[in-house]
Amino acid sequence: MQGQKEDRGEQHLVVVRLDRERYGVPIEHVHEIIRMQEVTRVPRAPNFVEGVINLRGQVIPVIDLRRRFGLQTGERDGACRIVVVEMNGARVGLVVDAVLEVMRIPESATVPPEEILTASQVAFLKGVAKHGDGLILLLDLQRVLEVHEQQALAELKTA
Amino acid sequence: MQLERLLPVFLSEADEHLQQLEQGVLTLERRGPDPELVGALFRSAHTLKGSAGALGFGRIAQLTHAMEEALEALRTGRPADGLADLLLECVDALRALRHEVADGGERTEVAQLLRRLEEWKQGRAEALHPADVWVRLREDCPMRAARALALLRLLREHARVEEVAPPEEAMARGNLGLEFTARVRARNPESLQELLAGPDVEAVRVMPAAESRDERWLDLGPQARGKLPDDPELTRRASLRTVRVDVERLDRLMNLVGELVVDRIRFQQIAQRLKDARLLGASPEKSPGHTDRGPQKSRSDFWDGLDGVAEELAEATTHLGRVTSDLQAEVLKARMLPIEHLFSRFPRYVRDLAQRAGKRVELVLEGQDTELDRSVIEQIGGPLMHLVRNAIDHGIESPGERERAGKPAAGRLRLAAFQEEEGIVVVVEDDGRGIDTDRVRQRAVALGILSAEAAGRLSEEEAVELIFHPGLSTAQAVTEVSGRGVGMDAVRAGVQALGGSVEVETRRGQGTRFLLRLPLTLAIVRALLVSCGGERYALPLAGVQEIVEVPAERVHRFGTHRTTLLRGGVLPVVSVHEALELPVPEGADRLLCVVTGGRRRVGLWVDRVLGEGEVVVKPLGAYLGQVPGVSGATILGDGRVALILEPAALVRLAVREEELAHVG
Repeated sequence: MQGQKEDRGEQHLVVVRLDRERYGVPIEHVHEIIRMQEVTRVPRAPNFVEGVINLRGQVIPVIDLRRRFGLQTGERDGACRIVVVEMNGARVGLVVDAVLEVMRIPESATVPPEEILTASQVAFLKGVAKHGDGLILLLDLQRVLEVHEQQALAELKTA
Repeated sequence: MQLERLLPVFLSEADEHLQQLEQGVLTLERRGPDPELVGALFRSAHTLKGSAGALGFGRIAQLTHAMEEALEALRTGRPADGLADLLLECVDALRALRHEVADGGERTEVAQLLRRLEEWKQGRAEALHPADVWVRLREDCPMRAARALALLRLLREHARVEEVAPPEEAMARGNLGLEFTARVRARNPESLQELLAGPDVEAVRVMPAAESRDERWLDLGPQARGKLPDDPELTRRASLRTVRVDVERLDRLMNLVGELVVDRIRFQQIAQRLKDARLLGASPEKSPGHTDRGPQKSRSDFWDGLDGVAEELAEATTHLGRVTSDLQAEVLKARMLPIEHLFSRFPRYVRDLAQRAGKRVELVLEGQDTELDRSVIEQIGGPLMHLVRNAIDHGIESPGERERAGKPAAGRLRLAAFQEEEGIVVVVEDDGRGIDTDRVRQRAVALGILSAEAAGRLSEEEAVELIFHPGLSTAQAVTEVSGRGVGMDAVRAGVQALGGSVEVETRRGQGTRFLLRLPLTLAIVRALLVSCGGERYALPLAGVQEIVEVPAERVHRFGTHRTTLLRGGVLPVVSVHEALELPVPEGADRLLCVVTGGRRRVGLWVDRVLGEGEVVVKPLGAYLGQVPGVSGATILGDGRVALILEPAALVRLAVREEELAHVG
């Protein structure tokens, strides 16, 4: 890691794994990371909303990111975590396969997602960062949490 | 800095004094100036003047000073004519100023009020006569809106302007044809004719506002009357987010928190002792080579120790249980407010509404000390205002009409609150003309809500229920016809969202009574824990009448519509599974929770009843928003979340689908 100072040219990320890809969540939006727990389903909610959980007395919704991104849903193992993010005053939990590390990525290492990925993947991404010999997909939380757009997308896909 | 510290104190003091002044003036108006009352008014104005002066709020100080002088004149024999109106205007101005100083500075003009108070004191104030002033500008008048506003300013210098159509804000935006109308009160309305005539003015007419003023005014359209209904003061006041808590109560809360800390320490000690005991219990096996007596002694110590720990744990848990339930009760009490907080606004509101509608209304308040959770109080203000407004506008007849019907000229409006079982009932009752169910039927048919035939089949009770139909009650035009109406569906929805219900009873020619049944608190409800489609839900007990088990084959199905027979009566059945789109178990018997939703009684079909208890209500949060059929969530003993069902909404969901099915 190069920059010791907090300069604007760097992003501080919590890196999580989902399927075979690595995703970066801006650390300033991460409230805490908790183990997977039993989730209470919410009727008539969008399909990617897994339900609600009890976070020390507060009821918060939980989103299954695999469903959110249209990925295959599989068995969850011990590495599965809920990343609780805070966005526009609301707390929401994101279910990921595993939390890998916290890292800094220089802005210069990121490129707009369009250059590498297909349109449907781009919908939830702000950009892509090269790291070592792999890529880290940078999540656009605003988009991830938007309910209506996703519903429309899902309907498009099924149509 | 000084101001920052003193301002909140001043504001809350001002609220109290304004409240007292207003109530006092209303009493003055009714009963005349008895010395004690005038003295009390004087003291309120004086105190307010003192503290406003100290903080440098000049206009408040000036105005209260002038009020003081007027009251002094009253005390020394000046007749009270016209003072009540004037003082109420002063209270309004003071209230506006009070909010302005909270936001940074006085803006409301008081000069005109000061002058009028002075005139009144001198005895020059004669009776003010109501009149409607109609002004038409010439077609070639440049900058019409500016001209019209200038004319209004001129008018204000010589008369009290009560309402303007189109409203001034609209004029300022340039929204003006050639004409405007103003309702004024003036000593000599005729003189206004000459005053307003000018180069750009084509015509001015001043019409004394006669008995029929109400209808004429209504012709001006909704904007002209729209000012009063949503009394901003009522809403502003209702949304106060701070609570005054008795110091004694705070001390009790602090004591209880202290007890919690003690419990925490006890639990830490118990955990430590368990660890120690475990070491003790584990040691014999780890070191088999000990002397004979050693392990023996350790083992008995181990069991003794464990017994002791168990006992202590039980004791600590009991203590914790007691402390938490005391804490819960204290916090709930701290959230309770007497309904007086809400009721106290109504004397003024009713007076103004009645004056405007040309009615005479006697307001009776009962049960003001009934306590309700503050969140309930905050949220029923709107529905109550609505009911009161409807009662005055449409229920209570004009004095003439009442006398012809052999009733006292003044209508009686009763607002009452009392506790009933585990909830609170608020009554809004008038002795007016009642709801004309024939016209309600006609209207429903005309709007296509019902066929004429279906309307004819409705019982009286069912026809009255139509006023809550969204199609009927939101249609503006209906209000005059149905006698009741605007937003009655909103009233019911608002009360139901609180877990309450609205009932209406009416007798033609004799009056209408609305009963609002409300829960004591929103924070904690008694609920049934039920299981449905593999998930647990809390069903508030308030609406549950009984639980019956019905074999699957006794539930009959027509399309999406289900019914069963219960003790000879037909009971509609709503499947929670279908309303919430949950998986339906095959062939299981129907366990029905018989609930009342609105006026309907329905059986809610659930899979199992797991138990009953108090649950703490938590919001689902903004992200999920309104989940249909669900009013919130709660956390169960095992730490998991259970959603709280809203029976009335479930019934609506099911009914809506039923209607859709009929259409499709």
